[in-house]
Amino acid sequence: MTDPLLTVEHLATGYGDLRAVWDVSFQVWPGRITVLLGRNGSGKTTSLRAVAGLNPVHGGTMTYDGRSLESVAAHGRVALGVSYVQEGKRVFRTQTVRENLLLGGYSLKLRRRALENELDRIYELFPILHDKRDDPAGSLSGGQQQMVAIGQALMAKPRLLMLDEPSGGLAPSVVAEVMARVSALKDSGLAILLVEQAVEAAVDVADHVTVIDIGKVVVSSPVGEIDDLERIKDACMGR
Amino acid sequence: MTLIYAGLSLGAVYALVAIGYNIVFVASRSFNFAQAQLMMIGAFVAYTGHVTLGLPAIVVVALAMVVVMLVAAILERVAVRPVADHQTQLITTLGFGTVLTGLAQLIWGSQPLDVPFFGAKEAMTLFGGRLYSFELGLIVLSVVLVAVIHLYNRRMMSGLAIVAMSQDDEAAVLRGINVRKLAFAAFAITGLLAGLMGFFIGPKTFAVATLGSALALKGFVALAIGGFGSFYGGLVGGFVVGLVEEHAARYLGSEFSNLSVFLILILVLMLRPTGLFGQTQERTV
Repeated sequence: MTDPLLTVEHLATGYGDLRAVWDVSFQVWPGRITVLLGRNGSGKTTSLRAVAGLNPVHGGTMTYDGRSLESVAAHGRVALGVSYVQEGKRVFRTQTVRENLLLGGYSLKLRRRALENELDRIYELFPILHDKRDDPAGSLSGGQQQMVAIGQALMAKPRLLMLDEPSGGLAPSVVAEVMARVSALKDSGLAILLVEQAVEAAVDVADHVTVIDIGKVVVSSPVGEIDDLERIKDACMGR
Repeated sequence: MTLIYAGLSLGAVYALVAIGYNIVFVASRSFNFAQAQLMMIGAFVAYTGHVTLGLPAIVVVALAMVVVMLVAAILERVAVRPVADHQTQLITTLGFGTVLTGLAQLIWGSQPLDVPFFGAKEAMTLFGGRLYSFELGLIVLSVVLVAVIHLYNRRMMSGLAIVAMSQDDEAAVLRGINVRKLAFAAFAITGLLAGLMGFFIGPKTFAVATLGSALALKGFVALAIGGFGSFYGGLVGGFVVGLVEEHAARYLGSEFSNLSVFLILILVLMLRPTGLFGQTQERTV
């Protein structure tokens, strides 16, 4: 197996002095999907925010591509190839789809003209965004906004893509489509860290599953070694 | 026509204040209540450069812009950055503005000083009305500034980033935007522009220490009428306030000018609480 791109060990983090995550470890490999599962409030999002640099680290280490992430400011981590798609489709609502995607490439430090050429990559992946490129992002449907959010992250040419509940609030048929797209992304060598509530849909696309509860890891295993999905589900329910 | 010119040029002064408020508001969702005082300092520096030192106009403009930008940078470090909460920043920037008023009084005294403009200060005739060259300059400056800012925010990556930041600063950080640096840059640029504005408003309003508080209030009214965060709104709001003020003073008597302005404000806010060009805040949870 290739070396992991991101190794998080014994991470303790939270909001300000308030601690929400006590001891979480996981790894993400290029071309593979690591799924982080756990019930509401178990610390999944908080862990992702710490990797992105939004939350302070109280303890443990985060090693990305052989270097420690902690000394790099949040906006600088994007330039290193860490892209984080937050839950809730947080696009820039008043700006057009095209402007949103251009902003996604902000960390490439290119002139606007050069960035415009990068847009085609995203339009190829999500053709509907090309049709809607001059519409305000806030006017799009939930699924399309999710595409804008993922498209923004991909504009930055990431090596690590963290997706926080990309299926949240979407219709079941759209969830399947989003998951298929996510699964296709790993073939380009992208390391993907996926947080999901929809256990079965997530395990379907996963290469490695880590379950956390109350800020601690309870299960961590390659998906091939999981013979009993019920055990994962139980762990996700805190049993 | 002369009355309309007077109203528009006075309105342009308010619009310039509103533009200053807006740049900081859009970039950091906070209010810089020292904006008008920055312009006041700009007017004083223009006076010193012009009259005391006898420098050429173009050097005076540059001097006013640099000095006020430095003051604005100090303001950001002292009264904005250490205070995390936007509501508290209302008070700290107001306090900084008061200090600037006091300093101006100490340095330049309390008498209004007449600031010269490019060339001679004489009236010209345009479309059947009379106006001074500096009045025309004010109107042109405010319109051009708004157009330039609008284009900048749509065309340049850093402009797009500032608009993005104003909607969701955390999402902006996650796109690799250095939010703190851009917010500071916005502050410095408002300072730079306030210096330029001070040079233009000086001939109209005179350089006087109490100028800040007079402009701060009317500029805020202009912004409230136009809608917070909208540059075109601030421009229109400024012109509305200026025109109403001049017309009320002419036809109703000068004691009615302020009264009429606030009447219009109340009317606008009753009909459209977000102002004429304001966007309704929508939040998704």
